[in-house]
Amino acid sequence: MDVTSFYLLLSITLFSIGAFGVLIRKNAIIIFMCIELMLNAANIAFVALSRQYGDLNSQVAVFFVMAVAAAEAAVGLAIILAVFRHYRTIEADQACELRG
Amino acid sequence: MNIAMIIFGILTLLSALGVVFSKKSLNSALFLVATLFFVAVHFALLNSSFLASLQIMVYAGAIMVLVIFVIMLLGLESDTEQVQRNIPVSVSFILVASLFSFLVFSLFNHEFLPASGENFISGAKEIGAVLLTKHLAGFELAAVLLLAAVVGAVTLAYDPRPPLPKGRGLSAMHKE
Repeated sequence: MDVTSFYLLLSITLFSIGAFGVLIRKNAIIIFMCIELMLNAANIAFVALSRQYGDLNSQVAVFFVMAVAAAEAAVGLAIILAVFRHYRTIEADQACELRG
Repeated sequence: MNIAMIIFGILTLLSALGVVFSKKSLNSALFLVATLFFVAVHFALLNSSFLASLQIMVYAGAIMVLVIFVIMLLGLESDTEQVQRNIPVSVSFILVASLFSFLVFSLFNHEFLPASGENFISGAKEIGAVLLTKHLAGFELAAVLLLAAVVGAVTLAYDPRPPLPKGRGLSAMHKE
């Protein structure tokens, strides 16, 4: 198995673990952290293929993913804070009513 | 493929499992810090030193400080879950297993073009040159996005009520 296939396999496994976490956990902060895992899995795939083909454009894509993840962290945690103030819980299944 | 890649690959997956299966959210956050460090190690092993340092500074530094700050602010560091999700765990497992097997199947049915980047090193200089010429518009848009995120976060998290008396944070209110 060559390096690129190894890293793509690692990326697939990490993405699946993250997706499983999003599906089974109900604590909003842990769901958020599992989304970060999935973003990192995508970044590993980008970097592995960048090395395979000697292409810098995919490294720039990783840079943009990081910028979007930072923006997502700020807004996502602010939403979690607002949900906690309103419902006194951050369990995703509890915050399920419109106009709550 | 060398032994370091395999060892750090296994460590990455183990700490990712720790994120998903930890009972306390603070333990999950610390496992996520470990995972992000191991991903930075993988970037360094793939000759991307700039992205490795960026990963540690942005992810393991800035984003994780924010996450742990929110966990401590809400007083959730010892919260444990009792209620089941609406989707049963078995259904989630079947969904994720089918996604995983589909992706692995397509990976092993794919022929890569011959490798050309074995000795390719991407430091800050090379990435900066591409980022500020070919991808300049995206770079500016990322700056606008970050500004919008700052304004949005302040708007969402702003609490117009008067400040609480001393020693009565959000978690103290939670316990009443």
